Amino acid sequence: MSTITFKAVVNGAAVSWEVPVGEFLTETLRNHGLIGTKRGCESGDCGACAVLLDGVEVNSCVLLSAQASGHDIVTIEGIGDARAPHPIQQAYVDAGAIQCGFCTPGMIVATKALLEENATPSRDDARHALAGHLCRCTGYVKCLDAIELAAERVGDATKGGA
Amino acid sequence: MYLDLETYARPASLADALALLKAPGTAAVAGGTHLNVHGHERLRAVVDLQGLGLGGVSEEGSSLRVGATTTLSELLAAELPAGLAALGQVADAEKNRAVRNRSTVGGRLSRDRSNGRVATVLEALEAELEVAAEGPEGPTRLHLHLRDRLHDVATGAAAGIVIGAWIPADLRWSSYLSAQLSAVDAPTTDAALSVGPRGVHIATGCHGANAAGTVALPATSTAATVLLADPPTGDGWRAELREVALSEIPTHTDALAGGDYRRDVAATLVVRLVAACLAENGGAA
Repeated sequence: MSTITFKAVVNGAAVSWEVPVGEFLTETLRNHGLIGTKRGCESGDCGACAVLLDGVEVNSCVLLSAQASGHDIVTIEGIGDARAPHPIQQAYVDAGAIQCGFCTPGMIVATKALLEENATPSRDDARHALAGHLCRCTGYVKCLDAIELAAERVGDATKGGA
Repeated sequence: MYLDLETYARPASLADALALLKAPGTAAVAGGTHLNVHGHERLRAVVDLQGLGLGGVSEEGSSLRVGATTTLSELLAAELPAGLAALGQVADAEKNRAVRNRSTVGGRLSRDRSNGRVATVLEALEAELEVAAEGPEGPTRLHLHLRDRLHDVATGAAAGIVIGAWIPADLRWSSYLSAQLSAVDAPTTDAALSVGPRGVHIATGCHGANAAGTVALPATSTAATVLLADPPTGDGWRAELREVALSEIPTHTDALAGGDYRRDVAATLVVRLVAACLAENGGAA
């Protein structure tokens, strides 16, 4: 199997990994321990595999790792973890926006991308941000609540830090 | 998930890209959002266009040029002339943001007939495509009619690389509508309309495997041009225009929609576009 050297900045750390030429980024990340990025539809429809590529939300299941080489990648692990959750992650917990949790990493990545672009999203903005994220458990209402809560908290944290 | 690829290349020049694409089993890739969707079992090499600088939206002379690797998100964010609003609307119609962030204008024109949206709008906006092809003395830039390129894509005869779309900037008004099962589904059908010095242009997309793809509706466009020049009173024009549209919209039946239903929806979209156009431009043509 032909390979390439995948060189990128993943969650702030420079990496150099040998990966198959035809491997998609979801697999590469998961094969290197970043299993918060989920393997869902594998056709770019469900959003479970979302990561940030140069700050922009993308579906890693339809992005060849070779295409992502040379770029800056942030996965759910780079946003926060159980010991130090990001305010967005805490908002999803506090809003009860998680049931099975499979779609949650992708939704949190989408929320991060949304709030970077628009610190005070409307309910419609939030709906649009989640349009490419499928969830069979929550019914989305609590996810939208979580985005509102996250926007408040991220906004407060920004003001507090200023 | 893997593709059985042997090589990946990210050339820095069009000449290198065109040379690499000559190898059998090789495809150009821009955003790549459909690499993992359609069957690419026979693909052995990809040529990534990201290093060629083919993106960007700019006004050049009497045209708007949209670079081939411009993403739908970039198109949505671009400052577009008021008459080309349909371009922003078609980008906004892709509600899956992660797809919108990667999916490119050129990529949308280089897939098979299940393609939609961008081709429909560009057809209605009288766009021409700029294609780079191999010439005896290096890359040659050609301007092609959109429908010729789409035909070549559908029949497997497309050569070269789409590097941009040129759209007349003198269009006064345009709009786009689509019908789809959900916000993130491909459109069952869609329609776009422009009005400018050369009259009204209407196109529709008949999507799905083995469908007709994007088609212009010349008779409907002529009828709409007449309506716009002499705005009608009452609503009788709707049924008449609908009949004209139905006579030239192709049918296509697949698992998602029956042919008559799909054609009926497309005709409805066309009538709605003409009604919106009349409301804003009646008497202007």
